[in-house]
Amino acid sequence: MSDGLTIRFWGTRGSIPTPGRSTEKYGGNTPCIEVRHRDTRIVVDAGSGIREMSTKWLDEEGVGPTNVSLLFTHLHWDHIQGFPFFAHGYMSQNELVVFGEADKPVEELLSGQMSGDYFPVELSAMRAKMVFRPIVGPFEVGGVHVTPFPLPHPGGSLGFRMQAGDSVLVVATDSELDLIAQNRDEVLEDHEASRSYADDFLEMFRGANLVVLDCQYTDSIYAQRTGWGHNSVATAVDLCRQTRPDMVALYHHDPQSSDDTVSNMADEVNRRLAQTKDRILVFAAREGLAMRVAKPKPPPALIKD
Amino acid sequence: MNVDDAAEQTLRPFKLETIGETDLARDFDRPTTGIRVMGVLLPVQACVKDRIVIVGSSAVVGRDPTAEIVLPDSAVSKRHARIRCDPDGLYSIEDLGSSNGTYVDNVPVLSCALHGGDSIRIGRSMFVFDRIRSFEGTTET
Ligand SMILES: [Zn+2]
Ligand SMILES: [Zn+2]
Repeated sequence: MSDGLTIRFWGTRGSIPTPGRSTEKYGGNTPCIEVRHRDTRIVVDAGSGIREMSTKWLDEEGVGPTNVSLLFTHLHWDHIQGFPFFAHGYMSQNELVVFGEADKPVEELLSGQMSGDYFPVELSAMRAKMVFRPIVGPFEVGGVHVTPFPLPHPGGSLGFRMQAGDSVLVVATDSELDLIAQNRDEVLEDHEASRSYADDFLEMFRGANLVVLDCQYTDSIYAQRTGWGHNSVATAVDLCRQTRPDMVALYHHDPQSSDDTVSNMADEVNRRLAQTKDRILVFAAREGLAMRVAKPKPPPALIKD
Repeated sequence: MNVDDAAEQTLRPFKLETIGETDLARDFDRPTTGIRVMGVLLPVQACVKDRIVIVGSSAVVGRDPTAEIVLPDSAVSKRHARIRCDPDGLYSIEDLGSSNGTYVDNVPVLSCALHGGDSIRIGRSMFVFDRIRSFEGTTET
């Protein structure tokens, strides 16, 4: 049971950190996900949530040598802005393998946001042993098989299908899937129409225990944000129906969305899936949630009053 | 140098309490002592009827009589889950390897930060988590 993957959300907000009372529940930190398998630690993206992650690791485990594989979906600011606050990067006993898009100068871009006028400490002050690996195809990290796949997003973005034993996690953040629907014209006419996607794309999601999916916009907001690179509720519902993962965590919440809005979006996805009797557990990703990547067991029936 | 250290050194020369003639600490004193925030579990459909106030920084929920929060239900493990309150007053719940799982807002969790209004399912019971404020001791007039 414990041999699969576990996941913990440290940042779920898209675009810009959004602290405040209206975002307490789902959290205001930008994307950062911790994935564990046995002793292997994988971190997907270094948004502002990474700071609390490293604080927590230090509290719980001290300063012993720590090996981390950091996977960047892409290098938009909300996905790298926490990197200078990743305390483990400053400790020479640690090893950090940084995976990023092959066609981007990952090291240059990370050091750019720490240079001169932007930040008081240069990337060179991060004394952990740092290795940069361009992502050119599937790879393995400590027993976890990672299959990268491209997502439609301004400047590009990568999805990751991760598997250890029977445990399958897909992280598909920043993406506007409607743009790669082969029947895009039809979808523009009828936003709830079934999208037709290439089969190798759908294959990335099939059989997943958990899909972490960009669902930044309600359908009405999406109508005003088409081309901005993020999904809407209808797109999420359709992908659920077509690929039927066990669980879907809606992710990359809009900075404009209050906790109530985010809750309502998850409710709306569940309501539409219930209409077609698709039994998929959909919820909004929240900061501080840790769970097993496995087929969920329903809870025991409630006691009768 | 650690980033937080750097920030700390930059900020240290300013001591807010002594700016000008105003002693901010004195002039803006407010009665915070004696106020305590506590977590409560409100039974929605549960094997207990009364609300459960979570006292202290850690409480085990379980079937075992030694648990701080006892739920007499065969679907609850002896030591099922632990609710914690960190020094900042933030609550979280952690499953202790229970047989039937711990659910927050229907999601099976290993652990989860708790927010007022979250539903918690343990065994055959459902609670809503909330936070209440209470005053300790006497109030001076
Ligand atoms: Zn983003
Ligand atoms: Zn982006």
